[in-house]
Amino acid sequence: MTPPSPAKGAPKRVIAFSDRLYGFFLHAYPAAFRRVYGLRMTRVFRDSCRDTWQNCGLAGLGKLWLHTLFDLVVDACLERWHNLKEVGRAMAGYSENQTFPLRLWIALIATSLAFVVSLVASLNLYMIEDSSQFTQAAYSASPLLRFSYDCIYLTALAGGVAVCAIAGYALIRNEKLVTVGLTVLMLLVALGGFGGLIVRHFTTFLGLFGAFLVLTISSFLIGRVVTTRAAQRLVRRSAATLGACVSAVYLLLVNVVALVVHTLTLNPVSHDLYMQGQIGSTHLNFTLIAMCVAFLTLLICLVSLVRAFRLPVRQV
Amino acid sequence: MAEQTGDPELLLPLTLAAFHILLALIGGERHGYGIMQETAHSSAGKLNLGPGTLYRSIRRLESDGLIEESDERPAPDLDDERRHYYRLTPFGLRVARAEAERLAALVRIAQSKQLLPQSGEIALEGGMS
Repeated sequence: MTPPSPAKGAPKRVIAFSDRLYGFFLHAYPAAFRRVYGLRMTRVFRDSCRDTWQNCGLAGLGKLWLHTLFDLVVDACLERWHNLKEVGRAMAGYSENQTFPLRLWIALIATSLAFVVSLVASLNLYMIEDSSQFTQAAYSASPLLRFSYDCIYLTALAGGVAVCAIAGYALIRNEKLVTVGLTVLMLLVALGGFGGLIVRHFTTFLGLFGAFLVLTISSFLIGRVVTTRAAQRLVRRSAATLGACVSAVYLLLVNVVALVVHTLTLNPVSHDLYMQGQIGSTHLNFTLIAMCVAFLTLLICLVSLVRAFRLPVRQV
Repeated sequence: MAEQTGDPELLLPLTLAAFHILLALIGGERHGYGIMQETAHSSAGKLNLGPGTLYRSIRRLESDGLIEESDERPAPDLDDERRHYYRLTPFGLRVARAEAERLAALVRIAQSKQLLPQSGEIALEGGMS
């Protein structure tokens, strides 16, 4: 059972080319199968090529290629089908065994509800302020006021995406699908939230879009870190939902900080607009209400997340 | 499962490729290309296994415990040490025998229905054309 003698010259190049081409075609097989048997299959094919070349020449090699390609296509399809069936069986077992802990449900519902309330409060404040020409004048004079004002709005928008992420991870099994959906949603929210600025103030749009991206991406990354850590104790879907909850909390925290900064900057005691009576108690009331709601929701989120973190160990 | 229960019948019928691989390994350890050559030879060129079919069958036979990888090499000096050799397990031998008996029983039925000549008739008549 000696191996075939090595070919020389042109045949060697033809065989080497066939060898490489077959190695490339092997990518039709699932990676796991290729890792174990890929090299062995290539070696067998190389030996077949050598023997066929020696016995039948180029025509024989062509025939071998046709036979091998047919074998490869049929076999790779069968192998992939076999893999799909295996994955299907594993997924069926996984979903049967997977429990979505009650406390996590409570945590995510509380977080979502709290955040929605805070989001509405923040947007409400933003719209009221936006309609006042006096506050507009104040924002032109103070960059910090402008920054905190935009920050409230942007965190509220990003928070909307985070709430959808919580719901997405909780309700949809396919994590990749949720990620793609969230990316599309993020772009839609950005265009809907301040897309009109593209025509009127393109530079402002770019600035807001950049800040919005930083907020959403940073919240996504924080959520990812939490998901990875939580996956050691929880099933993947629960861990992803928990990660999205933490993303929402992070955005809410930024929202609260921006509200505090905003209120302190537009100080009703000493600010000129208040002193002149040009903006009255309405602004202050709404700011304080929004702040209270945001603090409250932050508290609820933190408590619910702490409860979620004290869930039983991995149950798969 | 079948290996654990020790019942070869659970794995029958074998696919043509699987049965030919088992037959090729009855003579001793062989590597992939050796199995392919032996299969083509014993089937008079009617069964040419491609590398894909060969290794999918090998994987299945390995997981069912019918064959296993072997460290022994018939001619270590002449051979590439990266090659993987396979050999039949005792359970694999029993399964191959059970499959052969199953096929032989089928042949007997075909003979009783006069679809095939009775044993010995071929030699007496000088072979079937």
